[in-house]
Amino acid sequence: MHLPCGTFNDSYAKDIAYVRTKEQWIILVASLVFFCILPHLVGHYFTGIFIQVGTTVIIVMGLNVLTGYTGQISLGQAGFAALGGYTSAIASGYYGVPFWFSVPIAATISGAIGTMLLLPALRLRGFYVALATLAAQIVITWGVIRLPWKGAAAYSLSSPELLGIDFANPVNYYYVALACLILITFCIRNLTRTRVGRAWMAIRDNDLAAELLGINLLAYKVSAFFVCCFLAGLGGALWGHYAGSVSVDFYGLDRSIWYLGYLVVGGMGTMLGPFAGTIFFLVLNEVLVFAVGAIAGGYVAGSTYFVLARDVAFGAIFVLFVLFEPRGIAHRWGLVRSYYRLAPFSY
Amino acid sequence: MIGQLLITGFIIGLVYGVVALGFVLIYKASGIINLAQGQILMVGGFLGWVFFSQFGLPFPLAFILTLVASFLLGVVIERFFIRHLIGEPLLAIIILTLGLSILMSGIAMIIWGHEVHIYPDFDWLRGTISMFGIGIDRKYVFSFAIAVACLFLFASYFRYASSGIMMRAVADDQLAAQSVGIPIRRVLSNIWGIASLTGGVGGIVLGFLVGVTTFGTPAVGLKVLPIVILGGLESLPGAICGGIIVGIAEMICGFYLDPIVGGGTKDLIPFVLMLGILLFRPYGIFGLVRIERV
Repeated sequence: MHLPCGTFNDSYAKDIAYVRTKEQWIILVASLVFFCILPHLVGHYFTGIFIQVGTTVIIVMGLNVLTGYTGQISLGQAGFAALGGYTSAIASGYYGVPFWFSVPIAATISGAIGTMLLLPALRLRGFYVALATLAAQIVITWGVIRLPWKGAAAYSLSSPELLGIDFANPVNYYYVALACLILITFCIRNLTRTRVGRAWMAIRDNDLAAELLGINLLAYKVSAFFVCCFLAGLGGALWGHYAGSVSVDFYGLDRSIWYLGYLVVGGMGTMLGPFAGTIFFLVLNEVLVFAVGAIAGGYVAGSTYFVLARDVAFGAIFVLFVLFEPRGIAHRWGLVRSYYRLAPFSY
Repeated sequence: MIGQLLITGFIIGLVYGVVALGFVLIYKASGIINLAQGQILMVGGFLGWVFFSQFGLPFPLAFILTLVASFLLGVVIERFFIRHLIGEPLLAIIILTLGLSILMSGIAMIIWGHEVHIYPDFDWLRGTISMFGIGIDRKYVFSFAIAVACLFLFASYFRYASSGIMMRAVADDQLAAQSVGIPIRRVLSNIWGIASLTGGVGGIVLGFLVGVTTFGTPAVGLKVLPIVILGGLESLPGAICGGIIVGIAEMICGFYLDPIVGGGTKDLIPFVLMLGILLFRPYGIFGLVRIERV
């Protein structure tokens, strides 16, 4: 971290602190206040989009742990999110578990089942891991529409309620999603700079060398798989409770590919990456909704024209980013920052 | 019944095998994993539909035109996208081919829409043929003939044509091939053409059997992955054998398990098979044994 001139770390506590200078405190408090009053500034429609961004960031952050930090490519993230959404739907809808318990339970179960399905991937590397996750994705989406409770029909989810506050209101639900997102970001940020995170990165950079250093590959790969599937389940369940229903359309293979694309475009193995990529694509999505709506007339989300425009745009952007900026938006942002830190004297 | 399932499964599997051949060719020659093979298959099928059904050309001419167009598609993909990726990490390759596949699906949907495009039958294709006392749909016999003819042509191309021999040399050892003066770039571009051509063949056959769609055909193309894992990523005969195994397995499981679980087994079985193979024998039946144990 770049510190301003004259700021020195003279204790370990200062060295590991996230918020170090007065300016950073001001930015932190200001952004917290901003995000708290944000839903009151915009309408319910945009609040819904913010909730979508938040839950998607949680899912992509899980993918970042597995793909960005541990180096195992996953093509099944949406499937693991489906596990979370369906578990929470069944737990809250059929067993009367309240939201505040059903979501963590769903995330844990999603982590457990996901890790179990990925057991073949533990012994493999590279392309074979991607294939194992792809198979898991297809098995999961095949399985969830054949569950005994409702079959292929969409499950409806109740919205949470606590101390008389009704969270069906998007503004209230926004705060739940925001709290989850901040908590998860904090945990993952800390996790990646402890022994666990360093072990993951060692496995990513050179698994043979990591093993020779005494890192237990099996244990750390299992933990990465678990965290990945846990976060996917959490994001999937949170989104399901907001949307009010889960159906397999939201968790198909195309979503898995998008999540991977979000991550790559955002920047793998960085904390900024999942945020940058998800926000970029969801904003693009909204822009396309408006643009196609302006051309075709009316509200078009879900219509054929819109799906076409979105597929072509997303596909083209994935390809262009891989060809021209494979390290993603996060890298480009770092370059811009370091340029303006020194501007106008670049040496 | 079982005999009929075996034979139709075998024929479908042979077609899968031809498509998987394209995947293996690219992987062997350049180490690039082509996850857009399903979309190439789809485009091939639609091109065939355009030439054969829309323009009303006679079938042999439409077939050849489709193959030429597919070949060009492969060359274009290689020239504009894949060539930049030599030496890039695996993830970049996967994302690029996936991005290409989304792009191709989107463009195909703009042009051809959601409908099932099934080829018009010619007279010979209607009805069944009786073989060993088993009635087989004539469409399957026709597909079998096309697939076998293509396999035969490919085999002789790789064995006798000098450009085919060059391809084998590049697949075997790029450095050695370059040092004896083989133009690697041109060979790689040809290999993408041929791989895409296998997609064209598969697309035409699928167009006769079940029709081409923008959502269903790429899903068929996804089955290439279980097939190549089953056969071994580096093995050309393995791709054919894997295709046949997957074809027969999905026919039999589809027939016997569908009534129990309520349909859809055909799309699941290849991937369950793949999970099993990855667990017990990740290098496949004919692949090189070089998977590191953890």
